[in-house]
Amino acid sequence: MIPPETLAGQAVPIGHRGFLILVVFIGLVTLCAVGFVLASLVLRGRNNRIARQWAALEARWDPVMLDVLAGAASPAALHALVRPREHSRFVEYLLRYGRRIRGPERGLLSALALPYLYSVSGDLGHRNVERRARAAQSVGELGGGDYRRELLAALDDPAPLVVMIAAVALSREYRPGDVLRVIGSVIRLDLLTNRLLVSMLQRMGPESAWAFREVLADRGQPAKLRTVAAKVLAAFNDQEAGPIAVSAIEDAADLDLRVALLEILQRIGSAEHLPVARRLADDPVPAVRGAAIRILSRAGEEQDLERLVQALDDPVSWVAIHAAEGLRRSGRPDLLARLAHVQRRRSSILVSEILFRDGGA
Amino acid sequence: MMRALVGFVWVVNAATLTYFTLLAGFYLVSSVMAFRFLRRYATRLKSLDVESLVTSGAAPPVALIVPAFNEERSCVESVRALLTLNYPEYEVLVVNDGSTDRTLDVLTEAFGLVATMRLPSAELPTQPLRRILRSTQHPGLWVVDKENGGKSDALNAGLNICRAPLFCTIDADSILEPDALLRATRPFLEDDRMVAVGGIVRIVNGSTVDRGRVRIVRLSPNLLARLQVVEYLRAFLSARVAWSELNASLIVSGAFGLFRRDIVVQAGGYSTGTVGEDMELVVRLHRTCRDRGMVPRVVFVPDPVAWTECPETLSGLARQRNRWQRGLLETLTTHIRMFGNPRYGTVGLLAYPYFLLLEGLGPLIEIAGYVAFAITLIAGLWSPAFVASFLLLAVLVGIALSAAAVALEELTFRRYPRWVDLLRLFSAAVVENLGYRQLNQFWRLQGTIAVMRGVRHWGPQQRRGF
Amino acid sequence: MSAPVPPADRRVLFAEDDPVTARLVVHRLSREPGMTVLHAADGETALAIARQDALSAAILDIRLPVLDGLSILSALRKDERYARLPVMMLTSLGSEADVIRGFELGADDYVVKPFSPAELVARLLRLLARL
Repeated sequence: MIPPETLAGQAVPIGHRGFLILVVFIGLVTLCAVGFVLASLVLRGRNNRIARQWAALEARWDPVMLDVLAGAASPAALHALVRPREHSRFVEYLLRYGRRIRGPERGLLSALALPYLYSVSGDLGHRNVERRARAAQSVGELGGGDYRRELLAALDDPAPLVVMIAAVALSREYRPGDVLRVIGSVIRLDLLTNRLLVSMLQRMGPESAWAFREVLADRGQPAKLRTVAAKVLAAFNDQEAGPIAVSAIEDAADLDLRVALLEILQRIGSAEHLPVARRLADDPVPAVRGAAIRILSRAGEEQDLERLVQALDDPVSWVAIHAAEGLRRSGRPDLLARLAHVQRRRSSILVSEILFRDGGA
Repeated sequence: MMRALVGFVWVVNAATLTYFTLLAGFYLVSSVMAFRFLRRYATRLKSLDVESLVTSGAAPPVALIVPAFNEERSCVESVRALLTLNYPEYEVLVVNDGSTDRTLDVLTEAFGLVATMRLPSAELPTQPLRRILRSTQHPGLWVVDKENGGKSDALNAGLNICRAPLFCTIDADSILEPDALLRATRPFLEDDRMVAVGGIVRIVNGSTVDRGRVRIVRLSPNLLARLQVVEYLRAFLSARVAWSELNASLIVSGAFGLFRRDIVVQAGGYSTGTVGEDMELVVRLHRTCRDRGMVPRVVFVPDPVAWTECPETLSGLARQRNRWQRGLLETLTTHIRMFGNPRYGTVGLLAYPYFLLLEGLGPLIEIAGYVAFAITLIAGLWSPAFVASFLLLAVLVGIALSAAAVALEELTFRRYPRWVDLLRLFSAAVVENLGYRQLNQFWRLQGTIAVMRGVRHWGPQQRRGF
Repeated sequence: MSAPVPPADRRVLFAEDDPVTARLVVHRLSREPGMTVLHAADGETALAIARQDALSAAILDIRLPVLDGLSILSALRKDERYARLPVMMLTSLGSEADVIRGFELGADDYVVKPFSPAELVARLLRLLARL
């Protein structure tokens, strides 16, 4: 045991200053901790209060709201129940229904929202991105077309979130004058995947196909834009896009674009596109090959069956799957059954799987 | 000789001080970042209709890969719950990893499984498959029956037959909320570079579960469970949010993670050589993507929820923490070339040093620090008042950070409806720093030593559970 | 002059877990004369109602907790009382596979969400009139 006196000689003099700093820190941290606890309690209290308020509002509005939507009461009856400081809550309330309703009732929702949307639309110029987004969503969902001008302006918003919401809202309705601008807004949304963009834009419906064809045919447009346009046209099964696609494939360098163009041809399923498909069925890039095989599967003729059988052994499995589906569709069970017994392991598994899906086996 | 001891104590104290300051600093900064992010995120969620954006034909198909080992009691209910998720297009691929109980029989009976074939979409090496089965009642349910090989092996087997562009890993006893997939796929739709998305994992102990869904959320009466709840809140709501914002996420929990299939398969699937296969995969994804010139995004989104059970006994917890620490160190040593390497962006420059030094070696430093402090006290090198104040400060900082995490939870998700639960969370935040944390560091130290001694806990003959 | 015959009592099972949608439809349907709506928020409850009551029709949301709409449909069709019961499905956008499967299992009609409640009711009435 080392006697303390010996060690004390080597003790480090901390001094009052060091100690004081420590005490100050302790005080600060304790304050922080207590602050967090208090903040949570206050937040909890506030949230409970808000929840109670909402419950009260719903209790007051629900019966009349449902009657209005059923056509048994006039919008004015519901408006009478909205107090001056409840306007923005009411718009939020309406949004909940807006998301779940299509058809004639939407007109009723717009009528209900009309007196309050003006003040909400003021938020479209707000500093805060989220406020702008909220405003765009409210007028987009409930504005019923009255706020198209504001939404078009929102397509130039610096925040992609707002642009997206505006584009979603504008895509719900096809307007010949605006459609090219809406399609063009896709450029700003470069972080969004094509899938999302296509599903958004295709809501404009086949009437808008001419605009997408124009974009697709324009070689000067960015590849991503043309790819999205191509996919939308494929979704529309647009016949007139066929010739455009065939000519565009020749000089389309972008891979996604090539595949999308082939998708158009596959959907149309016309025999005049077969030469292109036959040529590209040997393409080194799997995505292109797969798309070409799909065309042959869909619209191929007797001479293409052999190519499909070969494709069953393609190193990339989903190319093989497309070929198998084509063979199944060919209605030649004899071919399939024969293949099921061939020793080429890969094809026989595939074929068995396809057959199982049909309930055979 | 005395000088040496004093010198040693000084060095350790200095190291502990640095460690503690860095750690506290990190948690403080991450809490602030988390606060700002979560506030914005909550508003953003409200202004975007998640469901309509995703379901309007944009929802990518997802395959749920569920590794199962000896789950005969709960698997049917879990799988049934997984079949009723709110998502337009998905499959459930259960992988029976050579269970020795009646797991497969129970599933076969409940779902009308019949043997079939399925063309593999990848050829990751796994233990031999016995059969592939498909449900006649639910065409989206498949079961892979294979020889035992451990969790990574089972996941790879599932990956081999997975065709969907995205796959989701989930534990057999986890409970996914119905809209979890909807919310978890959203980042993939918004960013082409997204490679993995992690959701939040919450502790289900104490809550009421009815037919595979969490009905009522409550805190468990078990103290250990409560402590873990606070811990998870701090880990998920503060730390992971911050790393995600810096695009330096090293961890996507195996209990609930969504990945892009093609990138994972290209990277070689899961590694069977480590206990921390979930973290190892993510680190490897960062590495392989960057090596190929692609900047991957790995994010954490706090709204999709998976519920999981946590251990309620000291021994269970000790084993878990030991295992986590081993996984952490095994992963970090395997990919050591990423340390401080600017080629790997914020992962190499920020996340790697943090995890290796503060989390990997942290237990060593901290325990040594306690020992040094004890010596300091006994030998009278510093005044007891000073040492006591310092310890008090350390404890208070820990409490403040845990309290901050509870406050973040209250700000955003508020899943614990009862007031009394909120107060219990706060008291757990206090208790956490008065022994629980220290115990944790001790277990983690054991794990660290185990790794340093190259211990492996299983052999090919021994059946591995998860 | 005889009084007009009141419509027979019709009991319709409505299985939907989203509360707002449920409220909308229940309210709208209940306004039809002679119509009683039996609402279930999950699949198991829906089946229990079907077993206890004598239904005239069913509207089933496909995505339901515990037991999904397609399973309920197939269970109903196995019950000899309900082999010819008019059944409408509620599906979400983008799940054509569900629709096809539904028709395979014997559904009579389907409506895609989001929908117009008035249209839903109109189609249901048409279905019922066909009997």
